[in-house]
Order: sequence, then C-alpha cells, then structure tokens
Amino acid sequence: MQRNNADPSALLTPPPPPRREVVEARPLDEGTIVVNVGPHHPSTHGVLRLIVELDGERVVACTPDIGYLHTGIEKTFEEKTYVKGTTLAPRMSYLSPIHNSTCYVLAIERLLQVEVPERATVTRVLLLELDRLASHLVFLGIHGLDLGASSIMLYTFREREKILDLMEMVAGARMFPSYIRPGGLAYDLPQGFEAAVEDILRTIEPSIDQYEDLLTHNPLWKERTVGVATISSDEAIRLGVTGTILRAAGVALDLRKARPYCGYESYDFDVPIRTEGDAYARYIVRIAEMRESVKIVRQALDRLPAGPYICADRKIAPPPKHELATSMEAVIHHFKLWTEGFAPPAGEAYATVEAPRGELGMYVVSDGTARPWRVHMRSPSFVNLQALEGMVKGGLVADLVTAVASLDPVLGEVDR
Amino acid sequence: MSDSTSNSPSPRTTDPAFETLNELAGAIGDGVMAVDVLLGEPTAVLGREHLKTAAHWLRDQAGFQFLRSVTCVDYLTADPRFHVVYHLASIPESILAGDSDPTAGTFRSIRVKVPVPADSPVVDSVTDIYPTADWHEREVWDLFGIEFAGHPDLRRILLPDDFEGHPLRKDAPIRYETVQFTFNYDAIAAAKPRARE
Amino acid sequence: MATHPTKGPAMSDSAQLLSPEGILMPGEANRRDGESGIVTTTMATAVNWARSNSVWPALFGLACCAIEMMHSQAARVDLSRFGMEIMRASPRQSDLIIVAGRLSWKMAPVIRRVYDQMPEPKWVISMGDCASCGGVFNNYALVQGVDEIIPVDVYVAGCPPRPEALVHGIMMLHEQIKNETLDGWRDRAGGHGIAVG
Repeated sequence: MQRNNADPSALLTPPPPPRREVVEARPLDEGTIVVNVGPHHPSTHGVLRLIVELDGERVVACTPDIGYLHTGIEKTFEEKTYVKGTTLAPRMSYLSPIHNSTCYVLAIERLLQVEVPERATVTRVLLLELDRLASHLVFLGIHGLDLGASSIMLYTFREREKILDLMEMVAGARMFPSYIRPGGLAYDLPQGFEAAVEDILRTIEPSIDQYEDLLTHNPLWKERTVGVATISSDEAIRLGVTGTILRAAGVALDLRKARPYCGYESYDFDVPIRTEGDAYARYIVRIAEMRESVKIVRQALDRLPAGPYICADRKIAPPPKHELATSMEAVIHHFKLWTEGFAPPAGEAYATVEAPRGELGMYVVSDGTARPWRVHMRSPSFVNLQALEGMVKGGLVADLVTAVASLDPVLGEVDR
Repeated sequence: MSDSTSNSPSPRTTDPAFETLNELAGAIGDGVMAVDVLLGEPTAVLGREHLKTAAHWLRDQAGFQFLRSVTCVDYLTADPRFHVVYHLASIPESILAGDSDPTAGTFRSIRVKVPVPADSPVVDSVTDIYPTADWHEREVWDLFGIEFAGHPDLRRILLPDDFEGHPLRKDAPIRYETVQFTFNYDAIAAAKPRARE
Repeated sequence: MATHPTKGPAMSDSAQLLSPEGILMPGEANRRDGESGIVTTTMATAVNWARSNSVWPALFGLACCAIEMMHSQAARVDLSRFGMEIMRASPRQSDLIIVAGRLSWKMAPVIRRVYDQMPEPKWVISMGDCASCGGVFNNYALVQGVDEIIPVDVYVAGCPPRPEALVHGIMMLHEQIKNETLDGWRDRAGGHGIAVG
C-alpha cells in the first residue's frame, strides 16, 4: 500500500498509481519458504507466533516469537500489597491457578517464617492435585482437538466442569479462586465439601479409562505421536526443560519428591516416567500422573483434619468475623490488614512447586515494606518452549502441531 | 538490601550446597564477595568478571548442571544498582537415572547474585555454558536493559520491537490510567480513544 | 419470526373456498396462519432474523477467558443450541469476534488486522474485564479496553465470565442484531459503507 505523504501538491495533481513491485516467484523445489504461523492460529494454544522455514514439507527452522500476551504482571505485583498479589498470581498461568497461588504464598510464608495449620496444608494439597487434574484434562482435550480427535475434548471438559464446580463451591469463583492466602486459606471449607470431592473421585477414574480407550491404543493417535517431537534427557536438562516433558525423557525430577512442599513427603505416590521422550510418552506420563493425582486427593481427603484454617497471627491473618463485633483490637487489626497490609522482614525467597507444566518458581524480594520490591516468576512454559525448535527441526510441518500441543504451553505463563 | 548480609543468617552448617559455595570461594578466590544462606537458599555474591569461570566450575566440578532461572532486581538507590540473580540446581544421579526416591540422592540448589552498576549494565552471557539462559537473558535485557556480552541473539523478546525503555526498572513508569467510576465517567469517556469501523 | 401476518377472522372448515381440483384458493376467507404459506414482513426483519441465528464466531482466544469460551462450547453449556457451534479459524469466514482475554499492545495491530479481514456485517463481543477495561492489569503492557482498537457491541463482565455469562452476552447480541435496520451495522460503528437500497 502506498503511504499517503503530506505534500499538498500531491493532492492537486495525484501521482500516477504506483508500479507493482514484481517479486520473482521461486519454484518450490529450490530453496526454502518462510511461513508465518500465528499469532492468531487455532493450534498455537493462544497467541504464539512461529516463524517456520520450510523445505517442502520439512521444517528447516522454527523461531518462536512470544510476548503477544505480555501482561506486565511482575510490575503490577510491585504496586500491590502482598495479599492483593494473591489475586494476580493465579491469572499468570490460567490453567493451574492454585499452583500459582500456592507458590506465591509459599514464598511469602518463607519471608514471614510463619507456621501454617495442618488443615490448610492438607486442603492445599487436595486442591493442588485437583488443579493438576483440571489442567491435564485441558491438555488432553486440546491435544485431541489439534490432532483431529475432536470428541475427546467434550469428555474431558465434562470432568473439568465438575472440578470447576468444586472450586466455585469452595471459593465462589470457577477459575481463579484466590483461595490460598498467606498463613493458610481465605476461609474454611464449605459444608458438603467431602461429599463433592468423593463424587469427583468416583467418576474421574472411569473417565480416565474412557480417555485411554479412545486414544492410548488408537492407531491414528499413535501414528501422529509416537516418535514425534523427541527430546533426549541431556538436551532437556541443557535447555532447562522440566515437568512432564523431562519425565517423559527419563529423568524422574519431580519437586514434590525432590524438594517437598506442603507436606508432600508424607503422601504415597509414584512419579511416572518414560524414556522415549516423544509426544506419545508425554501423553502417557500425563495420563499416569492424573491417576497419581487421584491417589493423592484420596489420601488428603482421608487425613483432612479439623482445626483452624489459617494461622493465629493477627498481623498476617484477618480476625474471625465474630470477633469484629466484640473486640476493638480485632477491628483495628482488620482495618490495618486490609488497608496497609503486612510487611515481611527484608529478605528474599525463592519458592518452587511442581506445576502441571514443570517447575514453577516465584522469587520474591521484600524490602521490609508492605509491597514486594520484586516478584519474578520462573514459569515452566517459558522455558519449555525453548525446546520447541530442536523438537521440530527436520520433521514434517504437520508434526509441528503435535509438538506444540505436547509441550502444552500456556501463553499467559510464557509471556507473563 | 543490596548487601546480602542484611538477611538474618539461617543455620548454615548442614546444607551440602553451602559447602559447594565455600569450595567455589576457594576455587576462584576473591571473586566470591559473600556467601550466606538466605532463608534456606545458599547464596553467593560474585564479581561479574568471575561469572563465567564460576559457571564453568559449578557445572563441571560441582554438578550444578541445571540452570533454573535468570532474573534481575533493580535496587535503584543502591550501588551497584542491579543484581542479576541466577538460580541453579544439581540433579543427583539417581533422579537422572529415573529413580525419584529422595533418599537415593539429594537435590541441591543455590543462588548466585552478580551486582551490576548502572553506568555500565553489562554481564557476560552464560548461554554457551547453559543454553537455557538464552531466553532468560533476552527477557532480562528486554525488561531491565542489562546487556549480556556474548549472547548470540540479544533482542527484545516480550515487548514489541518499537517499545522505548525497559519497563521493570524502578524508574520506569507503570503507565497507570485513571479508572473510570461514576463520578468521573464523562470526563474519561470524552478523552478515551474510540476505534472506528 | 417477529412479525406475524394479520390474523384472519375465525371460521369453520366448511367456509373454506376450494378450487375444483381441491386446492385452497387465495382470498379473504382463507387468510389464516400459515395456510397460504405466505408471511408479510419487512426485509430488515427477515435478514436480521437469518443473521442473528447463524452467527459464526472467529476462533480467537487470547487468555484465561478463552478457556471459559471453550467451556461454553463444551458439553454442559453447548453454544450450538443457538446456532453458534461453528467456530471458524479463518476471519474471512466469520462475522463475530469474541475478544476473550487481555490484549497487549504487541497484539493490538494483529487483532485490528483480524477484524479488518472479517467480511461485513461483523460484530464484536468483548469478553471479560481485561478486554473491556483492562481489568486488574492497569499498566504499560495492556490496552485498557479493546474498544480503543476495534468497535465493540457487547461487553461481558467477569474475570473470567462464566460460560453462562458469555451465552447471555451472545443472546444480547442476537437481540441487537434483530433490532438493527438493514445496514444498521454500519451506523453502529460510525461506518461509511455504501448504503444499500
């Protein structure tokens, strides 16, 4: 398109129409062509842009271009008090909100050196594993959609609706409960919570069997995923890849075992691994992880103790509602907490959790005031996406879709 | 805050990673400016000219083959103003071999901080030692304006190419826009740009 | 259909006028609902009725709200009850864009181009707080409301809105389409399209 210049004489005597530049078309068998995939493309899981260089159907180079969902969330954290940050944290990676909240809160609790009551810890584990289930369900549905197995998405979202219903029952919001707070939980679990979890546990395992019936031995599914988008364990570690992708390559790194948090060391579960390192192995690992999550949820539900849901320190936890009517001190604490917030001592903490996509780390620096000086999020998708180029190079362009889907990136987490 | 010793020291005797940092101090001498355990995380403060030597030593001699994250903190008034922060981990042989049992090998992690002055914000790139640092360093350059000498492709990663400045620096504005409420609805609605067909 | 033909007077079956071949004859006595197979209405009503019941949304998700948009397509809420199940991956084939999620300045030119590529008439739903007004992210990176980039018809509040809220927004859009004049979608956005008829 010709740019309209501001020369007034050009308006009186219009210039002749621009000559079209002739670009010499190259025959396809000579050299390569560059194809732009995204940022608006149905199989990029959001707004990922890939600049792909193709030689026929073979991928020669693939350069991801990210940042189309850059939210400036780390800057916004610095503007908010610590408790307000619990609203921001889940919005970073929107498929695993409880993991984000928990990781952020663990970092703050390390700064505050505060003890969390047992009931809160067990509830966190329970919700974390349900969160992992909900996240893997989305992975499974979207992976299926991308490879043409459309019906699986309708089944996985059926189960996910149940988990979201439970989140709504617990905290009033489906996707972003903001329920994990520094020192414990926002409020106690509602009546009928156990029965609702039991209901999910009753239906989820037959459902996982159903997904496996649809996919695991499906020849078309195996044709599209076995041996596709492989990565070796050495390469994965060099590139900082974590989570299911690393475990599908044979490295049993799971922070729930290696660096336990929320008392994971006391739960009985396995870390499923495969050694192939391809898309099918990742699928198998995630399916197996869902079954392990069900095991952990069941154990957490069995041991869910009675007792306080948040620590007793009035400088961190808001006073219970009934005290507000009788105690002047409680009113003052409440007022101070929600206007000023609490101020952890100066220091820095790096907390990690094993999110559904890998190691999620939050590096929180406190300068002794009520707002964090710096919050950095080491998001697993950001790092894992670096492995994409090596996975797809030399492969077919159709396998690019498999590779992106099996990496399971959340672009909100990649771009933050 | 710029000095790591302002954190209250934690019990430091038992952490095996802390021993590694002491060995590192022995290996590269006065390049290690301070060693401490900050809230459970063994931390070393390194001179920036020793970063690559230390990274080679940590990867090859001490087994810290896994770079978890690279980030930066802007302390604004402190001197030096920036700290580039590296989180490293050592994955034990048992985990590498596929055994997740935590008793078979210890997962160790450390933090390395490199102070960078504001007038020459340059650090050596560690992409040739830890390839994962590629995007991390591009992100730090994009958001903080720290240059990584020797990085193969240092350009903006998250922000658009025509963005001016580095938004996560403390002196960069957040560009907050006044929120529209009932009392100021008309004033903001009149000034708000509206898209046309 | 919103407009009904004028109802004829009630009459018994014996009062029908039949031709010798037994065919129902046109005439005052036969003006009953549907019997003559003719309805009278305005062009706008008929066109808008058709348009409102076959809106094809673009498959365009940005962030968190896109997950809830997928839920509204899935088994429980099932948007296909309203003729909306065909999400088109190409903007050339769609006439509704649901901006589901936060819009960064880097993405803004892209979404404008996607909008420009859609054939007219076209409509826009801004789904969620971030798309409508910036939401909780009031900073340098995000457009404070997608209506700065493309004209919006329906704003759906929520962070993210429930699938039911999105369906409600879509119902509101259907109502709006039904009440438009024949080329009202041009007036809506202050457009300058060629007047038809």
